[in-house]
Amino acid sequence: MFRIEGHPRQACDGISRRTLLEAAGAGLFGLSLPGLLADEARAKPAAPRARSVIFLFLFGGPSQLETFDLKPEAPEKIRGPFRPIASRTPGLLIGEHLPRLAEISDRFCVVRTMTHPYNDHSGAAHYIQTGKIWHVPIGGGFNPTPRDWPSMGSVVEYLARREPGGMDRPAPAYVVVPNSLGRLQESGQYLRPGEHAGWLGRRYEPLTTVVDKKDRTDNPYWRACEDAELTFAIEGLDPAQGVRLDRTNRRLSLLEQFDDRRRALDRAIPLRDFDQFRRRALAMVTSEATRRALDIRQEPDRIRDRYGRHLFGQSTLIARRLIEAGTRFVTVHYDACDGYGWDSHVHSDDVKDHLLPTFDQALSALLDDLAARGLLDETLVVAMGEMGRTPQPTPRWGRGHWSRLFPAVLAGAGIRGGTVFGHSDKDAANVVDHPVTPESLAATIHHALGIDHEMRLIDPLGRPVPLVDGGRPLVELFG
Amino acid sequence: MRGSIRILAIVAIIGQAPGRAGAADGRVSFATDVQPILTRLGCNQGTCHGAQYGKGNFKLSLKGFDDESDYREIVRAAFGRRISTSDPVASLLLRKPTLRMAHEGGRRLVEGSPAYKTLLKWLQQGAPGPAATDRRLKALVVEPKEIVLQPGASAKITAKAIYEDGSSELLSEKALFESQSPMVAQIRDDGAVKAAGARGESAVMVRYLSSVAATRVIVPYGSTVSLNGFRPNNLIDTLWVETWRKVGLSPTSTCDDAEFFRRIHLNTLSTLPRPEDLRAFLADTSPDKREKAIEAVLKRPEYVSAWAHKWGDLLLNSREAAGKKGMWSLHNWLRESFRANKPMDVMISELITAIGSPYQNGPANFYKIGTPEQWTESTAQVFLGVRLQCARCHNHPYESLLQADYYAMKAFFSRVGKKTSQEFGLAGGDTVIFVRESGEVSHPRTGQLLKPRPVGGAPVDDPIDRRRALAAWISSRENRALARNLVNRYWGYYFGRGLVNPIDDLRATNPPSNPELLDALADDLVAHHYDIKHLLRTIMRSRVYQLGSVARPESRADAENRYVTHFAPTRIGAEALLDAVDLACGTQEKFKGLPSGYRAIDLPDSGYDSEFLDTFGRPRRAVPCECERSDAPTMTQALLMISGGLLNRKVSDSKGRVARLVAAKTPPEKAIEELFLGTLSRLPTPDESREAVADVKAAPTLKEGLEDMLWTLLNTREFQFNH
Repeated sequence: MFRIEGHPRQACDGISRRTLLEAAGAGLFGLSLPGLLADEARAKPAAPRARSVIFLFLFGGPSQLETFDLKPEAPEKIRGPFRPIASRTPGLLIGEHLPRLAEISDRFCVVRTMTHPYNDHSGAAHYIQTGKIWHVPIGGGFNPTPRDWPSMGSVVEYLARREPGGMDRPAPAYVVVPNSLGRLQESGQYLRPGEHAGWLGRRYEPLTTVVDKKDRTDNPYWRACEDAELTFAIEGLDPAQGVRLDRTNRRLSLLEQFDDRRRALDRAIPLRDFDQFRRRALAMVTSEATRRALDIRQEPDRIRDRYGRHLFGQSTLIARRLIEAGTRFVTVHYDACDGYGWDSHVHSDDVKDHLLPTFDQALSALLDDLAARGLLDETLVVAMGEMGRTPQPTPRWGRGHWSRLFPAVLAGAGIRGGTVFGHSDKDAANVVDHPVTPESLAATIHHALGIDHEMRLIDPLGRPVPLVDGGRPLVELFG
Repeated sequence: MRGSIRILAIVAIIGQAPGRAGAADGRVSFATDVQPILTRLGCNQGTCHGAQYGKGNFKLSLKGFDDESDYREIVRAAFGRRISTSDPVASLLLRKPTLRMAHEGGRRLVEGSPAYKTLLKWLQQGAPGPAATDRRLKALVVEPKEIVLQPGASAKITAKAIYEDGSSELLSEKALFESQSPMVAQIRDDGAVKAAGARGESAVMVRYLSSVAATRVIVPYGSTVSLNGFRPNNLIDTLWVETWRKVGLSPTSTCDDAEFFRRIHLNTLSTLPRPEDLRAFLADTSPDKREKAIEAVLKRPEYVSAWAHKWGDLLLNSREAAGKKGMWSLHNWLRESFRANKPMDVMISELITAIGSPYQNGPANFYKIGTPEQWTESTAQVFLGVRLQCARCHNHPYESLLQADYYAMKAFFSRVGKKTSQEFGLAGGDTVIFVRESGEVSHPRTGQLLKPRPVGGAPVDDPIDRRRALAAWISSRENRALARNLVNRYWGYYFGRGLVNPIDDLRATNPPSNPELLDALADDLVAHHYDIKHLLRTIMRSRVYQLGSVARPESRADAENRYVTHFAPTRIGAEALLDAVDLACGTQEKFKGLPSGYRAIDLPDSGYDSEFLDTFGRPRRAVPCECERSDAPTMTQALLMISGGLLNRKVSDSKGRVARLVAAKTPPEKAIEELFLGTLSRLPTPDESREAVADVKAAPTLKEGLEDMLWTLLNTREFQFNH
């Protein structure tokens, strides 16, 4: 799907010179030489399996021992109080609070052996969503920076714009729902890195929606939400302050009338760019398609109930609506409204009472729903956190940060369901075989989308840098 | 042509003194014969074996900067299986690139070619390694510097190596010739260059060992140049006329008064003109009214705000890095400097040599912010326009910058220390920047101690504070590095594109669009003691700056406006745009923690919450690169202007411009005029006025009609661009 223009003649890393030049703009030098081009074109990348990706991001780090990597033989302290239940996948035990997922485990693959060294939330969120370790060391910061690596979604947006007619699509290729990560966290002061466009440039930022909580202590992920709350308002659009549609339309016709007078300015490149974005924005303000995709009330009650009326369920459902409307990459954040969420250092009763049940409901509904609509074959679904939890519990029935081992669930787009990848040790502490780095996860997702994960992008210093450095696509996961 | 070059090359070889490791005595040198081949074939480029982790388990240094390591990798690594001196032809080094064995990088080498023969000979001689007797390159001479090629014509670029031992060598068979725009100039391996079809300019880069040089190749856009009444006013104009003649482009006509007035305000003050000033200017009939307006603008207080803000960006001033007090201290020092129009060389020297308390001494925050690496990189990039970052880890791939240059530059800062001032008995968490008596920097690869040496200069030192030597070097009247950087930066700020572009990437292989002008303006700036207002005055007075914003049809082929045939519209930056919206709406944004009256360009750092400023791309001051400020349009920006709450609130503010016009029962014609002056900085044309009045009258109420009109004007390209 993401074929690069000028495909046949490629440099030795598989990118066409034309693409390099286009991506680089002025100032790039030394890469344009004919000598850069290999004489033989390599047929690459493989045909895409996924038309789109739904990425369910369980921020905070769900415990491997309470979800997909149970250790009934481990000491009581380590295995925790939850009982394992059987699943449809041979050899896979699942935590008892994920019964619906256990029932449909033939639809997904569990990668047990995700691992990376960044044992903290912000940097790990960056690592998982970009496939690149964060340049800020642990403790060095929490917020996104302009030097961050572009998220996988931003790369998809970048490439989608370069497809023929890409700029004229009103639907954005990359959307984040229900909020940018961090917005609903207790104080809302930390926006977390990872989902952003980073140095690729702000024009490849996701389209992000906004759903508010009622007050500081409210947690809409853990309760049924009213329709009026589920605004999924587009960030930048301000419905409370907005004007009536008829007045908006009058303004737009005035704008057309008065802006036309300066048509002579049109030819300048920055003006053309500006116009394209304005056209897309106008389309979004006035077009029914996007409005409808983000209007949860259009969905039948039966389906909404199946996903769960909580914010995670309804956001997951919105993700399905968006990919139906043409979006290529949707990230659904399970944010930590109470400051903990999946980061269950203490009072892990919330894990049992809220986190696992809402996740169980939403993901199982999504997989069933996609399958029923015939969309599962062309949609890659990924569900995971940015880390796992310590096998040793904390004194107040919780677990600490543990990025050395944690699971990821992958489904759809040809992923073989009912399988398990990798082995962990007896305490679910370390990888025994088949470690999977965030680089390899990113390479796998790009591979599914037909994107060459070694493709070079031109960074702000004009250097050609590989999209993913060092990972490998886990082709064996696909059927 | 090819034959004659061969002859030349042979002459050069015969001309060499005997007895050296070199082609002359038949001995093949790894450093000066094998390495250039690997570079020329592309083996060690960044996308192949020169990548950080190499390719296919075979890793070479980027463009062959590390002879020792490359030799080990080729001869010894992989259990020596890459070469066979007993059966040279069977060496992987030859079989892979000739595709006698599968090679992911394809065919790179042709059997029997001169390069193949050299490699084979080197293997037959037992693959000798780099040696102390290897000739060392003193200079790479590339001629000519500039070629104007008519379509279809061709020419020859010659490259010559001059070695430290006095010998020299023609490099048609050894250097790597690369064309930046092969559509414009096609280059052959031997340096023969041909106009390929497209018009315009292409730099041709020549690389040999760790040196690079460039030739500008220009294929004129047209054969006739019409100046359309353009009359030069100063050196800028004269030198552009020469360039237009050379490249075959014609300038557009001069902009009108209103456009000129808006332009000098936005460029110099980041602020829209006040409607009353604009009316007075339009009414003025004196012939020198533009000159008077330029002088008036240079005296306005917003000048201080605009440039203190700009330099706050460049110096990465922020409360996170400098603390709130340090941030204000640096900000206030910048304001003071611009208020006094302090010579820029003095300002830069004060920054470089700062010591003491960052709370009390503004420039000392330069050292409060960041690490020795960042001081090194910022000094190079912000003050000298050189991107040194690449050389931190390897020799710069497109410039003759070695890793040693980076660390020699860093040596200036190796004795700067920071400590908390508690030790000195000061309260309040201040820091002290001081100079130690010792502290050295060594080369990360060779371990050799490096003497302080400015990038592009000779070693300099100072017995007390090395930084004083650096400051003296930078501000020396013989040195143009700072002046060229400043001229290019400010040119870029005024024209949206530097003479060298990007504006902080000055290097031999990125030639300016008008080299004579860059030199002349740099000389002029030094002659005027780094008086930046003098430079701005020269720019604004030039007829080139006063050109209209629409290119003539025959000049549109230069889509990037590299040759400044018109004034290319640029987007108004985040802060200026917010202030412009406020001026247009008659409102005033309030920033939390600051008294009212602070406009966006007055902000000392980006730590003041503003969704608008963030959305429109204000930099977070994390990297010293102009690229951090993003003027690229985004979806959210477009949405914010079209349907955002902030804009709607301002348009319909109960004390705003529209409310006041309505309360004063202003007649619609007059009200429309006010709205145009406050947004587009011009009067409406009669047509616009008539239509706008009709539209306003057709609205349910006068207030709603005027609000919609104001909203419309704010959303026009004409408002959101400087043109």
